[in-house]
Amino acid sequence: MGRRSAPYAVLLIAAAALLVATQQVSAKPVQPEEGVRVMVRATGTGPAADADSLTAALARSTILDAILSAPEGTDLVEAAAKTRCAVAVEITGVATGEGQARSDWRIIDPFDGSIVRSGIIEGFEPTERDLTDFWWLPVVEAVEQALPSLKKPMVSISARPGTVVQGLSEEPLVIPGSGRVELSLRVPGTYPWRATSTGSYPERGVFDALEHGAEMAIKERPLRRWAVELGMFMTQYPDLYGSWRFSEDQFFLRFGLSQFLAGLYLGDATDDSGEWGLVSYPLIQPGVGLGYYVLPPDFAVRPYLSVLAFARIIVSPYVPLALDPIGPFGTSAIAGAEWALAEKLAMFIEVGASFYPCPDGELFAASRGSGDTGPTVSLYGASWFLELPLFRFGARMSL
Amino acid sequence: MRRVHTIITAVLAATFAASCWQPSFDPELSASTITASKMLLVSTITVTGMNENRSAPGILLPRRVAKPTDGIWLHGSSLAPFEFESTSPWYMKTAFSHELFNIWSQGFSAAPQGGPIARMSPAVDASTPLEALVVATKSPSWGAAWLYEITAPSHSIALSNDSPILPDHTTLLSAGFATDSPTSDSMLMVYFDDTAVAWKAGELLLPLPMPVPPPVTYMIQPIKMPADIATPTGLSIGFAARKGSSWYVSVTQENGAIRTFRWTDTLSTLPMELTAIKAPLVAVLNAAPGGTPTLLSSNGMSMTAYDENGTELYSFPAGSLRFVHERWDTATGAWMAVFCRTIFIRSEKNDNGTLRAEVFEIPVENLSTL
Repeated sequence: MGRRSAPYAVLLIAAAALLVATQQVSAKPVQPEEGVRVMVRATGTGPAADADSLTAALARSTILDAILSAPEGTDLVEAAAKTRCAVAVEITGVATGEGQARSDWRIIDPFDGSIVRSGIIEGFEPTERDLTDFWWLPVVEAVEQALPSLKKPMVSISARPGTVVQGLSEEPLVIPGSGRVELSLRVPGTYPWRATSTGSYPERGVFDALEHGAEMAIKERPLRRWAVELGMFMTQYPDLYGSWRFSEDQFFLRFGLSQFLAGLYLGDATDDSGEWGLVSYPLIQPGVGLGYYVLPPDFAVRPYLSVLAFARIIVSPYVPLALDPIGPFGTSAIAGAEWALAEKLAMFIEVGASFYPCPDGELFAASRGSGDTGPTVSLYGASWFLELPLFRFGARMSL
Repeated sequence: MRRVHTIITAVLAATFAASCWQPSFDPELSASTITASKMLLVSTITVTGMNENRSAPGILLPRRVAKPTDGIWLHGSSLAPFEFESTSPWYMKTAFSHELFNIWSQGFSAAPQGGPIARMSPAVDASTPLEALVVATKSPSWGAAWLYEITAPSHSIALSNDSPILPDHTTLLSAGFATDSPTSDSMLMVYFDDTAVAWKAGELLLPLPMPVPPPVTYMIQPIKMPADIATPTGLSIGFAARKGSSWYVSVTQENGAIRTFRWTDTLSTLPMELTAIKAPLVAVLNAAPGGTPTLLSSNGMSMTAYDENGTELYSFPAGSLRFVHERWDTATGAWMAVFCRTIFIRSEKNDNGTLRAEVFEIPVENLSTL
């Protein structure tokens, strides 16, 4: 790898690290859908109390997802509630003599222990085939019919009216004008959610709905429109920029000042005679630009794109304050990423290229000098000059 | 936490990799462009395929005509700050001159600091062989030396040692040129004669153009220096010139102080010190109509003009513009101040590039408009 290639590799490593960080931060745990569960307990004697055949019959229902057997020694209703079963089925089977048998069944709502349905199955003592074919059909049918009428646990969500909450229902939930909405959720349960509201930062979290009546209040943090950033251009020259964010923090206007009056020059470490230390050029570059955040503000790492136009002004005691006649203006295209350290503080890195329209491209190229120009390359034509890649990092604080 | 370390490591690595960058901005070049835009660009000599080692540092002495297309390139090849300790002259012209840089050139030692003190002779026309007078600071060309163009078998610049040679035990203080008339220059060398233990002024009167070696008139006379410069004390070579009945000497002292002195009518009396002049003199220009000779000083970034008494008149950005000579323009009947700027545009592919020399001029009487 040549001396000039190494810096590119470093920049690529930095970009890759950011990409990995972005992916790690944005990955959230997802709760699997549990489906409709039924808990079964059969007591009594004989085939009319055969729990296995009852379980098999219920399992064949297309609207039931899982059939659980109640652990011995536990309360059926309590066990069903703890395991988030939609319904509990209790069977008591007995042989009534003369080849007859009877199964008493009850369908219980685990929410409050009420009996939703009940009935009796009577007949000749069922054979294995009877148990498989028809004996339990009344119970299966009753369970299916009872499901819609079961009492559902309700939770309440409060937030600013108009807030859109995702993750708690199939369709995005819109908070009405009252600022509060109740919805049915299976409890206990954990629900990752994300809320968006115009003029506020998106919020996200996990709702632990432990019981009926659980409440969740979504706080509102108004978007901070203004930010100030302190950067190091090419890791050498401090600069100061401000920005105003709009369109729900998706776009930003940036304005500020790059300067070369004071900077660091670490030189070429491989060259013993290389100069290093402080360096100064009588040049400042006020600029204004427009940027676009690729991801919304609730992402810990936000990639963005930006363009910047700037003027090059000579500030030398030997020259009147004036635009640099060799390259009076320039533009930069920038790709960057902002990494949140705290609620109002973020670090950023940027990589870009600068394009200069100029009266004389050769003259601009000569301005670049013939010394070491670091990790950059340049191209020029009769009336333009291009330099890349350019690097900048710093801290950004929202106000 | 591991992610944080990764990012910090990458940023630190990028910091050290990128910290040898410098902006595409040359303050001297920009300053010169501001001023050059107010002058007339009379000629551009471009040489492609030039080796960087032959292109900087160097100055061009353009042919002293209205539209110069060639000149003498003086290239210094020693180490800073004495780049011109070893100076090589080459003939320079657009298109084919980079091949001429392969021709052997007899070098000489120019001023130990700064650029060579040299003056191109007025040329009759564009085909007259070039000739220039330079100040050489070491034997065998100790004193003044002539550079002249040999056109056959190929263009080259030769060095003549037949010019007035200073005594062996001599310390040169200041030297320079001024235009006496449209057809004559004068050269002044102020030196300390170790044998005679005295300061002396050697003056050449150069009716131009002339054959080489020229029939110069060389006069030596004692010069009375200020009491605190009774003997050489490590002073560096500065500018010296005579204009009319006044002599001007500019010196840079070891402590960095710049001092300028003026003698009027005679060199045998103490000079007047022009204390307002804070930068080395580079030229004494002809008087504008109704005015006095203009003294021009340069601090490397700007030039300041003074009248003959050292009163500041005006300043203008100069940067990499270098004053090369005055030229009498017969068409307009005016003295033209001629400046030259050379730049090297390095190729991204190798150490070769393009050497571009630009010649600008402006009537002396209009210098105040810069």
